[in-house]
Amino acid sequence: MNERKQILKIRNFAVSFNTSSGKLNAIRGVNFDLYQGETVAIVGESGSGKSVTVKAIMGIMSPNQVIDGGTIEFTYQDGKQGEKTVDILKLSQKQLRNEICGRRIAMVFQDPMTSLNPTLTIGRQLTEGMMYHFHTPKAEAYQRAEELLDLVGIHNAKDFLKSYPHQLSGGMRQRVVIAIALACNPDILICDEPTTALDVTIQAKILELIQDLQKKLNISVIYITHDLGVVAKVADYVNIMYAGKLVEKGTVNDIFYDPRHPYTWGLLSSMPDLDTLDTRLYTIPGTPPNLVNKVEGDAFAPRNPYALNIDLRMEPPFFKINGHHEVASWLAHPNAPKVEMPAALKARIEKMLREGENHG
Amino acid sequence: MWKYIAKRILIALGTLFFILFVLFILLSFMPGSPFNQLTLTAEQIAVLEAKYGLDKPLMIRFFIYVKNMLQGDFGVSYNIIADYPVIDLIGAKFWISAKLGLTATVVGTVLGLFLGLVASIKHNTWLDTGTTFLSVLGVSLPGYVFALALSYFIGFKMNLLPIVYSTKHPVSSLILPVLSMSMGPMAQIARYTRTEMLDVLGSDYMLLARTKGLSNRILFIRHALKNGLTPVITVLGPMLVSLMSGSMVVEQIFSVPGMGSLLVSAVQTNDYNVVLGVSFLYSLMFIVSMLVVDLLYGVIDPRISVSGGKKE
Repeated sequence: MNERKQILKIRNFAVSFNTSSGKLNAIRGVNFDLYQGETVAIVGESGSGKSVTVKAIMGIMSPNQVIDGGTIEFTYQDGKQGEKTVDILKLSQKQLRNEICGRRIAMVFQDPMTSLNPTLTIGRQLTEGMMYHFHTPKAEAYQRAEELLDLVGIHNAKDFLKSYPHQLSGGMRQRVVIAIALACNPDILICDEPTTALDVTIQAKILELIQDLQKKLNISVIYITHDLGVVAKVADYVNIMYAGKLVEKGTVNDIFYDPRHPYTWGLLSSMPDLDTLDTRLYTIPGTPPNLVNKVEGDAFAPRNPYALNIDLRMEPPFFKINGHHEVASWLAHPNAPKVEMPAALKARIEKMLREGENHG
Repeated sequence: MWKYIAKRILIALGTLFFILFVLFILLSFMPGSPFNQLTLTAEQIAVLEAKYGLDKPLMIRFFIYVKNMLQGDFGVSYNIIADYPVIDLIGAKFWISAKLGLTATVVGTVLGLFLGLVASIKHNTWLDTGTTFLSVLGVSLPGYVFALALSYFIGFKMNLLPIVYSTKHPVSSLILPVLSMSMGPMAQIARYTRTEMLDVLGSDYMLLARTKGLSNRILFIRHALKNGLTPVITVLGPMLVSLMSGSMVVEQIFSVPGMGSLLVSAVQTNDYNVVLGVSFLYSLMFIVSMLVVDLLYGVIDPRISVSGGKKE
């Protein structure tokens, strides 16, 4: 493996929202890394802060959103000055628009049914980014649009460019949205639950498409999802997020075969599985904490059957398991009592491993 | 497209015919007759009714009326100006009402759009609150309140503008009526625009457009305006017609010799032909404006195909 080149480095990123019930600390210090050509998935429940984090990378914020601290360093090739690193949080709206958004970082949204403008043709929506950023002449831009559509699996697209979003199916629209994201050759593609709103048969195709494109174009992809099935399929690295903090990060194998955080155990246990004898689907008891209140200790502790005394009082730091696997849980401390993951989950993982050996 | 228009015109003709028929019957139920001056004897009334064909049965009268109408003859007035053709009577009054209504619509729409757009862009600021307050006021207060207030303060107290319409000052004497008539439409359009624009500005496709890094101007003009303003067109058509057909009360307050006063006096004196003529004109205007709005919709919003969605 060549040396990995880091292109995105988020440090101590913290965000709060001013709400009617007080200050809501949505993101409480997140460190996140992305290397060129790799795929990182951020997994978590609704409201854990996944979307807020990635939207901040593109400078998209709600009016009541406050950045409490941290840096988002983005490294890119500037045509004139060569390699350049900027802190996205320090850029003006104008700089963000002209240098980052669409051009170097692009985003694919959850619902293709609503993310295309109903009154503009597909061609117009595909080309306007290029025409705005690079002043591409119209004919050339439409030529490129056709190539882009070819790339996302829509062939012979000349007439297609004249159609309107309402004339396309959901899967087609998501392909168009992906093509739009790729229009300006971005370095980073952010996919915010790109398959949640699609039906299952289309989901797999769209995921394969994104993977395929990533290899072809050597772009880095950030996936936001709560679907561990998607993660297993596409990601190189996984970050598990809970209540505005990352709780475990590692490679896909680390997370799926050697999970360490009780929350990750819970997530994995609650994946439906055909082979379990238990007829009931496991769910994590309780609900995430209200982040308007100050969180004491580990935010997951109240829902955690394995919680230690210290979990209620002190926030756990990250403990390194190996070079690429880290977990924020006191259970990983050398002095902690030895706690095994739930037996059912362990059995399931062992079965997966055996199957892997048999097939692989 | 043309087939659709032809179909709509046919339906419109049917509707007009039906309206005429219903009006005809309703008018025959009205108490009294066009000739109810106390000085007239029964014989005189009978002579007059025979002269205008009112002695014939209702159905026969209706068919005679329709037959004449198809030849462009809407009959004559009985009372307002005896034996004067209704068409000329309406013609004389229509233009002043139309001018008043059209100007009021344009003024109201322009102001309303402006206020609505400002409110949506400056959402949740004092500008938004201010315009919302104004539009609530405009929607809830009837036009004649503005008319009375304006004529009292600006016309009477400050003596800035004439309070009575006069042909000598056709422009300045129309300012107050136009202003008071445009308040309602302004408020309605401002509210509509604000709601629609807020909806559009918060939509996913605006977010996607933002992530393309486009300038705010392009975002607003290309992506937001068209989507936000299409629904506003729907209210525009009927509003224009109802303003053009004359606001009776406002016309009365400023003594504007328009359609409003004509219709009122025609109804009071049982001047059947005038009532029929005026109502026919109103219906025609409404139907035409609806058709125009529907066609416009198809042009502006590609999702709406006027030909009935046979494509694909």
